[in-house]
Amino acid sequence: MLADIVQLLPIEIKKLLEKLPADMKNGIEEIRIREHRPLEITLQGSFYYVTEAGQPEKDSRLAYLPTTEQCRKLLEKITNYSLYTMEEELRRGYITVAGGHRIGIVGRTILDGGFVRGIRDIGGFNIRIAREVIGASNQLLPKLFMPMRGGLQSVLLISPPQQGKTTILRDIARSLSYGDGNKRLPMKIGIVDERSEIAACVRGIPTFDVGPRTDVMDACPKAEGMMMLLRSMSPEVIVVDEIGRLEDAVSIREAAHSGVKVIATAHANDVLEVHGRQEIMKLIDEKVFANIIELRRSDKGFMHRIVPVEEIREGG
Amino acid sequence: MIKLLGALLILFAGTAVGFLQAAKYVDRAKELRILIHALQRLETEINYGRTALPVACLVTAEATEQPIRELFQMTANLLQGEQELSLHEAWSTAVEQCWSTTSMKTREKEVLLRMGSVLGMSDSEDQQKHLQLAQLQLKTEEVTAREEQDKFVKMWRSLGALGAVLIVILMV
Repeated sequence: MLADIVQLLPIEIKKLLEKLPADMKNGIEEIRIREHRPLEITLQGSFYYVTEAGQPEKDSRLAYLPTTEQCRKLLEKITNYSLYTMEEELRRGYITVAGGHRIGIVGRTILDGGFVRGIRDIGGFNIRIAREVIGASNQLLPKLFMPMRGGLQSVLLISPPQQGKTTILRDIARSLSYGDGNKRLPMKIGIVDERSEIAACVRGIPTFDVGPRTDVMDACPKAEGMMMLLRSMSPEVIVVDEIGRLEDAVSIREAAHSGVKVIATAHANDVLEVHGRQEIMKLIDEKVFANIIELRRSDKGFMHRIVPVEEIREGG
Repeated sequence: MIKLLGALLILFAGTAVGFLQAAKYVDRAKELRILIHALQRLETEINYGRTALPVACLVTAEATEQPIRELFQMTANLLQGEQELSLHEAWSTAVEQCWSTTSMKTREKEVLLRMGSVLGMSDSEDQQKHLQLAQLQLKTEEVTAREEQDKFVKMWRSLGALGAVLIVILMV
């Protein structure tokens, strides 16, 4: 899984990372490369610097410092030697590469009439390694169905960052799209993948397995993408990541009214924090979502807790 | 008999040297023209096609005559190679290696090397500016090249033959 990323890295950094202990190497979640500053990796919620000898280290003074040359080469590799093909991505501040890995970029912004037009003098990269965990949603999936209320229900998944929201969401889309070969029939899924994280499309084609009956609207604003899918692809389920804006809520309502189920995620530490999100609370009050599901990741894997909507409304 | 043969050989060699020298001037102007067209093509690929450079170089190479074609072909090949060259390195290597097969001079070489240091490293607007600047500079060189061509081609052609005649006369 690391292979896609490793081949993008400059030779020197590639060699350092290959010297890391094997279990660490496979668990890397982020590689942070900052010009002339310590090379850092994060895994399982903690971080290490990497030394010249390719060893993990907590003391930043012993860390390897990536050079200007290496950063330039990395940027060239990520953009395929052509920064001008990535103008839209640079405006958003990250680039998705083959394999669904997302590379965040910081530097000096170029402004145009007060709006960010792009980034130049790029001095830092955050390579977030995407992992496709097939079967991640196996435990959760049956609970999304409520025979009493006519099968699959709309749900909202909430969790803090880096707890596997997107991984679970992708696996739900995949499972629903395949069906279980038994009672549960394959469904038509539409994914709005604003940040190219769910399906990791490269030139419009998903690189993750999102199922045979899944259509992906890639790099599209969520609200607009949902409306487009509703009009054009007649999905039974719409899958969308990180909702929260007013436009999103309008589109979700529209979908709900036309009988399309919505499986969405939102950033929040727990249910209490959801109360602060006006648009989401409105959707909950209107009973658009049947359930809210809190996600956590632990040593044992993905954990979830189902919170009935009534509980949230009373809590508020 | 042998004298006659030697004289003929000298005449032939002298004329050939003159013609070769003349051809350099003709070739330089011609190659500059091809190069300018190639850069125009590259500019279109970058600006309108938003083609990534490795592909843009290949497309440009296909539409370009030798010896300029080799420049773009080699750059594209080097980028796909194992050495992990940056675009600047690949372009510079290609320019250096191809240069001896062309009749162009150092001035246009410098233009190309300068352009190589920014190629691909900015947004399309900026890329367009750099490519147009390079074309403009090459056009100036082309004008000079044509002037030199008019001036020196006839001169070298006659000079070679006449020089050979002079040597023959002196030897006889």
